[in-house]
Amino acid sequence: MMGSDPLLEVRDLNVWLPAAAGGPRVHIVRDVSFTVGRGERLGVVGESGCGKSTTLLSLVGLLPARAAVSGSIRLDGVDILGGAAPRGQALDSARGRDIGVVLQSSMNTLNPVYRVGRQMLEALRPEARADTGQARARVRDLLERVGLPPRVARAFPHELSGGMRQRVAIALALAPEPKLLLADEPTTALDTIVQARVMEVLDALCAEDQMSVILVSHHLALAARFCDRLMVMYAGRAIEHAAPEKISTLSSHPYTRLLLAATADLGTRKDAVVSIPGAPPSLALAHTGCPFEPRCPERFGECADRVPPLDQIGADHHVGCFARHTKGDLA
Amino acid sequence: MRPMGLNIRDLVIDYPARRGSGATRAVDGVNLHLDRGEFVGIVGESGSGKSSIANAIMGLAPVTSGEISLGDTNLAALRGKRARHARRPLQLVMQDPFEALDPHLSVHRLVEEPLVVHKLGRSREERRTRVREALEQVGLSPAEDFEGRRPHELSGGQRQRVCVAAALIVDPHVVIADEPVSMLDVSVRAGVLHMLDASRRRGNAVLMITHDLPTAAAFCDRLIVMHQGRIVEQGTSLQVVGNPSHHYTRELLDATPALGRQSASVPGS
Repeated sequence: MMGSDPLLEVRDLNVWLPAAAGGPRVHIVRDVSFTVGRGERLGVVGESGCGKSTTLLSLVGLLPARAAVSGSIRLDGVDILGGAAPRGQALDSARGRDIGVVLQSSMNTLNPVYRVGRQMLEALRPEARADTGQARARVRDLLERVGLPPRVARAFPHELSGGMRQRVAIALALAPEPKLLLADEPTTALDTIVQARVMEVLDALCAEDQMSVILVSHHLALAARFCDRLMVMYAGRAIEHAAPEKISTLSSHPYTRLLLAATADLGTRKDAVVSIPGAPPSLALAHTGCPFEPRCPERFGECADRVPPLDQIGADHHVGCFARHTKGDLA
Repeated sequence: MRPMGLNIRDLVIDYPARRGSGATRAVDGVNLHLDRGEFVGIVGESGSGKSSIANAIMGLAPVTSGEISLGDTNLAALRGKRARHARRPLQLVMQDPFEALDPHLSVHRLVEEPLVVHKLGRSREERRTRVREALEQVGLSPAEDFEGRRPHELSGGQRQRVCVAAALIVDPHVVIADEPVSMLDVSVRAGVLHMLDASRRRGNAVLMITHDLPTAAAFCDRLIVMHQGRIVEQGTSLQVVGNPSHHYTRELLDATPALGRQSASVPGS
């Protein structure tokens, strides 16, 4: 993937969430491994319940208290999940300084009773807060970078439109100068045109700062446009890692291709838009084979017996599918 | 009875003044016609007035002035029981399948309800048969496996299919679908849209309100683009997407991320 020294390295991440009333616990993230290089943008795509948001939240310790986590998450070589460092401390410093977070609903991120400027001042690193004049200038600068006028600093969140609030949320996430920005469906609540503008702002800022980004989205086209690499998740597993241009090719995972076929693009005819029959498997159960096997048009004997490993089938392209391995070998 | 077309003339919808702000004109002089056998899409962003039109058609939003007629009847001029009766050929599919269904009722009761309300279906047996047909029609098959379930035992896509089944069971002449798939996962959206298209093929008119331009362009014969309460452009989907004339439509098209998926083929086919 990227150089020898990635910014973020996640190995064999597993997350179990507590069950509701007596049922079995839910194994929501299953053996997920990935890296994010410096300045690299990773898109995590998949449908609701596939584990993409849980994967993201586990990076910043925002999982429910009763969740069980295993594996390792190394940020700049430091394990921020467990291991030697006291769990809480490592996570807190990483969350506050090195990892910025933008969530779908900025109304929940922003405090409704404080003006925007005060919230942004609090988000600055302590050393940047020491001089009031400089700190204020920094807040103005951050607002300007997300395309907002200085007067927004005096506004309360409810006085702003959805698009403006989401820009404030981005400015807030960028205030402590994080190395990694996590964005979970940052524009899903916005209209198409506002969404495009917010993504442009994010794009320009990340390029200026050479910031690493993980973008979680169910919007394949949006993630493909913004990211260097995509990770497709299904039923808690990463089933494909690919450069965006690879996911619309024949060598892509059958699920990825069906997901694409279920999405209308401008100019797609309705007959070409088809849904995927069946439903994802329950995450309360263990899967013996490929989790997509029951719905897969390309399944064969081996698929039901064991989980296909993620194998490299091309440059920057890893797919967890027995059908693809065969074709990859022939190519 | 022949399915009737829907005609909207000079529709204006004002929402009354609230503390700190004056009255809001949500819809400002809209004319549109929906013929039987037509699938028409209204696209635009939130606040463009597209949902207000859907709500006014269903009698859920106040009409300040203008006409909404179904056949020869001006729905906007009727009140009470007569208005309800006149709207019988209209059915609404809402955005949120989680809110639209009473959690206490079984799928059978939910889909049967419109028949009971409209006094259609003479006996319980006849209603049961029609409910099963409707469930099969929307792909909840075999119907016997689904009719006893309650909404929480269904996925989001299945719930929206129940909503569509309940809308289609009275064989409406006009189906108004307000963001019918925006809450659903991508993999199940197409199923619901093809169901609405099947209703169109049976001669009914379908009006879909959405902010998803690619989906509207794929399924609708005609597109109406709304901006700030007015129609800024309308035409066949091909015209609007391929050769937009209004700058707002062009802006909307430019803002739409695309995958270039035409090159992708469906595996196994």
